[in-house]
Amino acid sequence: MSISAPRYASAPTERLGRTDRALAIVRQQFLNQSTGATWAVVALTYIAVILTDALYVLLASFVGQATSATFEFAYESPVLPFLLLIVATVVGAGCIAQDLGSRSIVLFLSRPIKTLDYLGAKMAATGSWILIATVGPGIVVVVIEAALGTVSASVALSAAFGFLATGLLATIFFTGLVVALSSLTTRPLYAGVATFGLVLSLYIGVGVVAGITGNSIVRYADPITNVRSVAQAAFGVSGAHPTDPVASAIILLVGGACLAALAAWRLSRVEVVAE
Amino acid sequence: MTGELSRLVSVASLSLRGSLRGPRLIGLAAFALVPTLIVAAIASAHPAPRALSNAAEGLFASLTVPIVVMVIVLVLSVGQFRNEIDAETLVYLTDRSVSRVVIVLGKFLGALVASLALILPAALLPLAVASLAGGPAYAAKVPVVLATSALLAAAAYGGFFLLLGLVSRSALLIGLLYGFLWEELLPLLPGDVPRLTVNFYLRDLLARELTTGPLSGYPAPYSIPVGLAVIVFLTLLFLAMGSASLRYLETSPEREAA
Amino acid sequence: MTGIVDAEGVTKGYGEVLGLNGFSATFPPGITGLVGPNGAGKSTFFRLLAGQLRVDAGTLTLLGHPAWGQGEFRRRVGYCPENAALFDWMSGEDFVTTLLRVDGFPRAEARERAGRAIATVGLTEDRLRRLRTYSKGMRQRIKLAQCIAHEPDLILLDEPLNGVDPVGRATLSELLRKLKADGHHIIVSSHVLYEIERLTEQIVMISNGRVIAQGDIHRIRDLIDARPHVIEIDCPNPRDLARYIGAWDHIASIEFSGERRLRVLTRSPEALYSALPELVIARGVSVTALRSVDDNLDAVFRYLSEGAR
Repeated sequence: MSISAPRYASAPTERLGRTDRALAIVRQQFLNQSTGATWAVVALTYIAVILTDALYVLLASFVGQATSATFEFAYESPVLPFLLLIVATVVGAGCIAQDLGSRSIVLFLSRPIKTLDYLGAKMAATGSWILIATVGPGIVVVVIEAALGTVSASVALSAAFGFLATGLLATIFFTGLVVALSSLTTRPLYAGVATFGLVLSLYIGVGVVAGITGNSIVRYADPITNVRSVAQAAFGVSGAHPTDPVASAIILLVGGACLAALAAWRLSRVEVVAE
Repeated sequence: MTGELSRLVSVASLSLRGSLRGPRLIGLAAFALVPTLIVAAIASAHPAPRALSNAAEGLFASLTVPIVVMVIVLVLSVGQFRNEIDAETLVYLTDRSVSRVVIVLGKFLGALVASLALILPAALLPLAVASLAGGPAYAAKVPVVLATSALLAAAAYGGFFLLLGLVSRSALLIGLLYGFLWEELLPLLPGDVPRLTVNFYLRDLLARELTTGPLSGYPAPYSIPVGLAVIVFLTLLFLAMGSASLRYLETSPEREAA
Repeated sequence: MTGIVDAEGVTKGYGEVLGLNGFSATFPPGITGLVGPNGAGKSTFFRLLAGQLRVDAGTLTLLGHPAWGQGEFRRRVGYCPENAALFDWMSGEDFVTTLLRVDGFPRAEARERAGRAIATVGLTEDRLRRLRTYSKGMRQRIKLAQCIAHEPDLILLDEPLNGVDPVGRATLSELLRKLKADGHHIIVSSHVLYEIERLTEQIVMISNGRVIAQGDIHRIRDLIDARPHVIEIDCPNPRDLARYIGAWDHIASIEFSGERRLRVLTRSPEALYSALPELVIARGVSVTALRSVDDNLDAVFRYLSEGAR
């Protein structure tokens, strides 16, 4: 009896490139995050923002003062910032923590993909959900108001731009934050609570420190204040902002990037083949 | 020690040791330092002494209880059952001769002691920093009242989150919504709505005991015994519900498989 | 029913999937093997016994007590679960001692019992190491230690040989035999049939959540009438032997497998065993080896599983 190598009847399959492999992870993660809890908080965000912001704009239009700045109420009130935080937590707390805890990260990283591709794909999926929750309700409000004729087309477009710009920057930062915290633990619970605790502590603590000391530089440490400043500028709100909007925008961008780098560093230390 | 009491102590000890270890302990301890760091940051700007001491005292109700206590108790209490059910280690307790009521009480006590080890410094160190940085000395009852309030908060929230971790796989989401929305937003609403929160009764106690200072301004419709009784009653209610749940719930993770 | 464990019509479902479906069996004293393929319902049954799950229908008792619920009777039961999860942050000694304390043993006694149990499973040298540093085999042994430390009457072992190397399996099997000799009752599950066969001849066979056979392995085999027994006979002259054997009534068929081997299918192996020596003496035919190929658990299980489908 002899053994010989099999003869293939067809040519070996050509493997797809990095982009396709990363997109496969994005698809899987996006669907994985599509749980009842996610849909519940996203729906809550839509309902809360549409009810509060649309009503506010409608009331303002009755006294003839509905401008793009009026739409900024969604960020001025606690509604959107805190719901954004909840969405980021629910969607992103387990995105890496779950893989680390179940060791299924081994199944990913032992494939021919780079760690950065894996991280990028996780961030893309998480960020997509956060974007849907932050930009989507605003666009719906704008469309409603435009359809009701309470604002002109130009105002509607300005407001839409405001929601898009603010939502994008907020998404970048909060995606980086929640993914970084998720990479530091094997339990989604801890990552979620850490996200909440950190953001709210900064929000309250910075407010107290700045209020008593009169030092407004410390306000840049609070992501919610940075998001509000950016929102005010994006929606064209006149008057003094809590922080410089350009600086806040840079902080959100750079902060998100640094947090992503932290997650990348953490993943580089994960031993793929260890027990 | 009688049989049940010694088993209670064993379960509590297991729970306490499991809670205070590893990176989780470091993270929570670092977080517990946040109020102290904030007071230190304020002190570094050399504000008026009265402003510093008021800030340290006021931070208890605006940050320590709603954020720091909430985070620490949420992490330590939800995980008591949820982590063990998911990791399938709860069977090592439930297949023993110890009663399920004792398991619930033991885990509650273990989590409570672990929480207090972190929460009490979070509540009291800011006062110490403010005093050291030149703030006027606090009356003796201030740290006692804050410590007692922290204990009550840890007990009431701990009982609720323990129950949540036992009955729900979405304990994180529900815990966050309860802790950071229900307990924080409802007190801002008018009428009797705030009475549906534990926070209301904690603030009632603070205002009753600390008749001067930033914590004295909260509404205090109830006497101290009544406020105490409500919080204790809620704690016992959550524990009773937890005991009943563990007696009747299946604790194998596969029960969710289908 | 008066077994150590009695199950009557036990049904347990997970949504639309039935883990156990009218499972009825009596587990006698001694060692009983619960055998079945993956997904047959073995772990579900153990979880019911351990009080992790509650039956949807039927009754399940162990040592005369309902399986669901706590009570002092649990001190007479030791459970070694299938999964490998442990309190990884504890040492082996700490793990066993703590669980004994939870069971109500005083501190000194708990420590002493833990030491004895750990010595029994051969982990004395590693008892102070953290459980997260233990290998798979060590984790199985420490789980067994916590299961026997309180000297229970009934020991439930769910797949105890999973992930254990051959040397470890032999050690564990020897330990189980010793436990039985010391008077403990053991219910052990496995899908590795030859390992169970080495431990016991009393089995309960489960497939698709139902009992397909229970009792002594050989008696079960005898009862499978539809399947003649396969017996291989090595001899220098198989054709001569076949000529004589073929005339017997209980012979279903004869095959020539190899130059010096007959493969005989018989409905009555006892008749063949008693007639063959007489044939050898009377006719002078030579037989060099005789073996029963399918009088084992694996074959029995295969036949019954095919019939149960």
